[in-house]
Parts: sequence; C-alpha cells; structure tokens
Amino acid sequence: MSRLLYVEGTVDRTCTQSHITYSFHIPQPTETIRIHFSYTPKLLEDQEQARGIIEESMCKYGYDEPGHSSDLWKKYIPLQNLLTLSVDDPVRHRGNAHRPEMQQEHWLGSSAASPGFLAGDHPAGMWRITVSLHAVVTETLAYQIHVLGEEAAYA
Amino acid sequence: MLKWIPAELHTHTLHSDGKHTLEELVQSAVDLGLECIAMTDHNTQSALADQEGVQRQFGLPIISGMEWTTFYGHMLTLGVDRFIDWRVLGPDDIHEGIRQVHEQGGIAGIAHPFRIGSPICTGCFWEYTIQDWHEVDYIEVWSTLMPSIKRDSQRAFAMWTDLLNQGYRITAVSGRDWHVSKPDDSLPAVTYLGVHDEAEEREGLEGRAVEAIRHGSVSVTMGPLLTMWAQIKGREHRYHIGECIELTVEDPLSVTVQLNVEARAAHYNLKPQNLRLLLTSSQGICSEIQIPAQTGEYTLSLQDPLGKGWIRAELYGCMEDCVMMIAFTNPIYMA
Repeated sequence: MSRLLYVEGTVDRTCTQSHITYSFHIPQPTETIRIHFSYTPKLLEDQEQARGIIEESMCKYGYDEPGHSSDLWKKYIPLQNLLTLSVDDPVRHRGNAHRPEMQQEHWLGSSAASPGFLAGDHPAGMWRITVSLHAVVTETLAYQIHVLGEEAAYA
Repeated sequence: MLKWIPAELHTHTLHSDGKHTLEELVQSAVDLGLECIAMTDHNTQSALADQEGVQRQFGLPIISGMEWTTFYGHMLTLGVDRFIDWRVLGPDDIHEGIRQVHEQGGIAGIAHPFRIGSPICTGCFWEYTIQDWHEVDYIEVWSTLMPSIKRDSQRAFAMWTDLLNQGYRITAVSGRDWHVSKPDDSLPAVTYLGVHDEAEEREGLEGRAVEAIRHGSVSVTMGPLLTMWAQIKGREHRYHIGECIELTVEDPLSVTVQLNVEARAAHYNLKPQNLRLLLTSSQGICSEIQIPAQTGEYTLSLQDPLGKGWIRAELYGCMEDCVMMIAFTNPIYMA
C-alpha cells in the first residue's frame, strides 16, 4: 500500500460555499484507491451563536413571519458543518460522497466501489480530490484527507 | 393513446444521504403503486451502476437523474447519464449548466425553490440568477410529504403561477425528496406523466417520461388522478394538458375534466364529500363546480377564452383531516 496524498487543513466561516481541490500525481495504474476523510467539529455548540446565524437565515429566506414564537429558531438546531468529497481521475469524474458523517472511508476498485463512486480503471496521471465546503458554521474547522493506493495482490 | 403513469421524480439512496439501496427504494415505490421513478442522488449517479438489472427485476422504469446539490440552489436533472460539473458554476452561471443538460438531451428543474437555505439546509433555497425562464424545464412546486399544506410549496406554486402569467410555459411537478421510508409516513403526492403508449411497452418509457415533463403533459395529486382536455366548440380535435390551442376566432372552448378515484385507490383515503373543481387562468377562476368524490367526467364552458394564455384544473377538498388543494393539472395553453 502506498501513500499518495496526506493533507490537513483548517478553515473558518469565510470558507463556506467554496471548494478546495488537491491535484496529485499517481505514478502508475493502481488496483484500488482508498480515501480516509474526516473533519471536526460537526456541530456548533454555542447556542447564542447558533441563534444569531439561524435568525439571520430565517429573515433572509422569508421564514420570520410576524406572530411566530420567539423560540422558532430552535427548530433548526443544531447547526452542522457540511463538507463533501468528490474525486476526478485524469480521464473522468469518479463520484461524490454527499453525506453528513464527519468521518468517511471511501474506496474505488476496478469492479466495485463504495457508495457514491464509480468502479473502473485507475489510470496513472494527475488525480483531483475536491472538498466542497457547503457549510462551515463553527469558528474554525479542521480536516484531514489521506489517500492510499493498493496494487493487486498478485502483482 | 395517452396513458397516465404515476411517478416519483425526486429520490435518494445511500449513494448520497438516503437510507435505501436502489433495490429497496424501487421496492417501496412498487409498494406505493408507482410505475416510474427518477433516481436523483446528490451530485452522484453511482446508484445507477445496475440500473438495467434493477429495472428488469422490478419491472419499473428508472429515469437517470441527479440533484445538483450546489451552494446556490438544488437543480434536478433528468434524462442525463453523463456527469456535468456543477462545481465550476457560480451563482450567475446556471444557464451554462442548463445548456449542458440540454446538450445531453436532458431536462433541468428547480427543486424545492423556497425551502430554507444555508446554513440550515445548504443551498436549498434557489438563489441562482435566472436570466431566461424559458430555459427552465420544470419546477418542483410540491415538495416532501403532505406538500400541498406546506408553506414552501404554496410559495413555489404561487411563483409558478406568476411565471405562467408572464407567458412562460414551465411544467410543475411534485417531488417527495425521498430519503427514507417508514411505516408511519404521512401521505406523499404523486406526479402523473401523460405518455403516448401506442405499443403498451415499458421499453423506452424513461425517455417518454422525460418528454412528458418537457412538454407539460403532467398532473399532480395527493391521490385521485385529475386530467382534462379542451375542444373548440363544434370541432372534433382534443387538446391535452401541455398542448397549445391556436385560437383564431373567439369560439368558446369546452373543457372536459376527468376525476379518477380508482387509480391507486388503495394508497390514499378520499372520504365521501363534495369537492370544489375549478378552472383557473391568469384572470383567476374561470369556472367552479361542486362534484362528488367519485370517478366522473365534467364539461365546463369557457366563454371568451382569447387572451387567457393558460387554463388549468384545480381540485380542493378534505384529505388526511386537512382542507387542501388535492390535485392540479398543468395548463393547456392558448395562443
């Protein structure tokens, strides 16, 4: 098993609605690509901050009709960070894991792949992993991506 | 021969954040009496790897689709099986995305345009700039379970009506946004697709279903099937939902509305009652009658139809202990 990419990063709320893409080289065709992806924290625990963000959102999207109870914001707690991960090989898009979990394991094999991804050949060349930051609600957020390549057992 | 196919157009599997496998989702659809679904996972189509096998196993056509789950809106694409990169498009670039969907032979629809947006439901509220509504193929005007009583849906329905009044011909559909199935789920809506079915074949139904949405041959309901056709008085030709009547003289139109409470009758409960059946247009209500909650056919006259632009049927009554809009058709247009 070979380590193809390891990155750690920290973002803050200004990174909401942005993408971070890592381009990296895979020197030879690989049987299986394994990706460990994690980020923390998941939830915004500070209730006053959550209330401010939720009330702003309710106002922006027309959800703060007069007469609503002042506790309506609680319907939307807890606010969550949401990062998703997508993969492009040198030739084609290989899929996206649009899921809420803060720890995710993905793999791409030649005849099967974990949910969200397409099985197939793993050509040598420049690959891309993109983290889409749909929501960063906490003041800071730390993430890690670890990509491993695995040759066929008989190789 | 026009055949009405009950469909669900907005679904998810565990390939994104749904709880079903594709097989489990399709089994649930069959259990609900549906005859077609669109597979619209968030930003992936990997659930469709065995699309043909699952279609064969269950005898249920699956439309290839995806929900573009972006930062500025959720857009449903149907009839597309090649990845189109949503990640490179900014809030003013959606027409480039729609162009690529059309180039692939697919259609593009706005999902739940008024659901609360980020960061509560990320990208759920539609914030892309639309420069030309002619390019939008459809709008999901009813969303989630029991949609017709939801405020988000009522806002979307009002937006659709406003766009019709401005002269745009956009199809309205329902979408459950189906992530999970539970025994105590409240009532979902159903989108009936009017497809031409000369050969009575299931083969190729996905393509015809997409065409039906593109052309507005669609009726949406909480239960019973509501359809209509129009005729210029004294002539034989019938104009169906989604079609356009070229009016050259001020002949009155007769509109025949059919209520069918037998299709999928096991999957909803419509108690005996008087229902309100309306024909509406940009001028408001054109015709209103009370009808019983049973299968029947009703002919309504529309005097002086010129300039009305569109007409649709709407049905109101009580279901699940709520007084609500029970069903509506897409328009027949008049030019």
